[in-house]
Amino acid sequence: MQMWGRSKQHQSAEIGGDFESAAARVTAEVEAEPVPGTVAGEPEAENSLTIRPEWAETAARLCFLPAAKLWHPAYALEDSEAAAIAPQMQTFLQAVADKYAPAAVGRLANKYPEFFDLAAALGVLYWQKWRYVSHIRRVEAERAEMQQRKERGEAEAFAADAVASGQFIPGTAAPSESKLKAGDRDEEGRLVI
Amino acid sequence: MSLGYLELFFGKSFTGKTARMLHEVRAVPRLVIVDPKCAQLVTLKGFAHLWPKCAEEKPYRWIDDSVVSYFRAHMGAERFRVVIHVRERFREQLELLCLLLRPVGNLTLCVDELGLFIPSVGPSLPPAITSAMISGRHEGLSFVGTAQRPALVHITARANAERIRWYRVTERNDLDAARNYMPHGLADSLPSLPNYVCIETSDSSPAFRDESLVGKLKTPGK
Repeated sequence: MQMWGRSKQHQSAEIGGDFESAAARVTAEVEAEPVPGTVAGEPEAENSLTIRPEWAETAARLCFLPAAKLWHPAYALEDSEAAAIAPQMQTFLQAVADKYAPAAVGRLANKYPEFFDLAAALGVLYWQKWRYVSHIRRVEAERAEMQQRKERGEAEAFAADAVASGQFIPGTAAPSESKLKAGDRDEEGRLVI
Repeated sequence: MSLGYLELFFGKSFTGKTARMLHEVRAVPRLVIVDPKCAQLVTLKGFAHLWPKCAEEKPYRWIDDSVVSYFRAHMGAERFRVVIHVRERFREQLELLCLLLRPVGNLTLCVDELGLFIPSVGPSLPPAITSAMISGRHEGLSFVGTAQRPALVHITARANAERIRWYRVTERNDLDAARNYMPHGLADSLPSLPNYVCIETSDSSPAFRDESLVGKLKTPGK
C-alpha cells in the first residue's frame, strides 16, 4: 500500500533507517548492537562451533551402530545412506551446538553450580592430560620409527658387506662344505671325481 | 465498513468486545495484537506469537530481540499478523512497541484491555503512545483497543477515538462517561445489553444500536 503519495521503495528505505534507531532504543544494549558483519541473533562465527558434514555422517552412522552390533550388521549405514541423511543431521547438530547445548549448560550452571565447577575442572584436567598423552604417544611413535629405520639400515649394510666380501653372491646358494673324496658318491648318488 | 484510525470497544468481560475487535480487523493485512491476558489469544490461529521479555529494572527495555527481529523481517511485507503477549510492564512495553512500530508504519495495532496499558489515573501518557494515538494516522498506524471500564481508560484515548462500540457496562462512572457520547436513552440501555450487542458512537454518524453480529461471532481461541 502506498502512503502519503510517496514511492514504496523510497518509503521503505527511509523507514528502515528509522527502524534501526528505534530498535536500538527499545532493546537492551547487548541485543541492540549486533557486531558488524554478523546477523543479529546468530552467534559469531569465531566463537561458534561449526558442524562439518563428515561429523554429521559419523553421527548418523553412530545412530545405527547399536542395531548393527546387537541385531544384524546390515543395519550399519552405507556411504550413500550416510551422505543422504547428513544434511538433516548437520542442521540438527548445528542447532544443538548453537542453541540447545549452551542453554542446557547455562541451566545446569545456574541450578547446580558445584557440579558445573567440578565438571569444568575435570574437563580442563582431562584436556591437559590428553595433550600430554598425545605428546608422549607422538614421541614414542617417532622413536619406534627411528628404531625400525636403524635396524633396517643395519641389515642392509650387513648384506652389502657380505656381497662385497664375496661370501655371498646374490642368486646363488651358499657354498656347502663337503668332506667327500674322489670316488665317493654324494647324497643324490652323483660320483665325486 | 473501513477501520478508523482510533477505535475503542468498551464493555464488561465476555460481552463480545474482543471477538468483535478481531472481526473488525479480519481483513487488515498488517496486524499487531497486544495481549496482556495471555489466555484466549494464546491459541489464535493464523498469527505469529511473540513473548518478549522486559527488563525488570530501569531502563525498561526488551532484553530479547524477538519483537525487533520479527518486525525487521516483516517490515516490508505486504501481510503479517502477530500477537505480542505481554505479561508485565504493560505501559512500558506498549511504549516500546509504539516506538518501534512508528517507523514500520502502515499497520493496525490492537490492544486488548487497554486500561491496563494507559489507565486514566497515574502518570501522564508516555510520548510514543500519545503520538501513536494522536498522530499515528500520519504513519498509517491505526489504533484499536478494548477495555472493560471506559472510565479507567486514559482520556486521551477516549477523546481521540473515531468510533467507540459500547457493550454492556453497569458501573455508574462508566455510564456517566457513556452519556457524553450518546443520547441518554441509549446510555440507559447499556446495563441491559445482551452479549454481542453494542451501541456504536462515531464522529461520522449518530449513535445506534448494533445487533448485526449476534450469533455470528465466536469467542477467540475456540
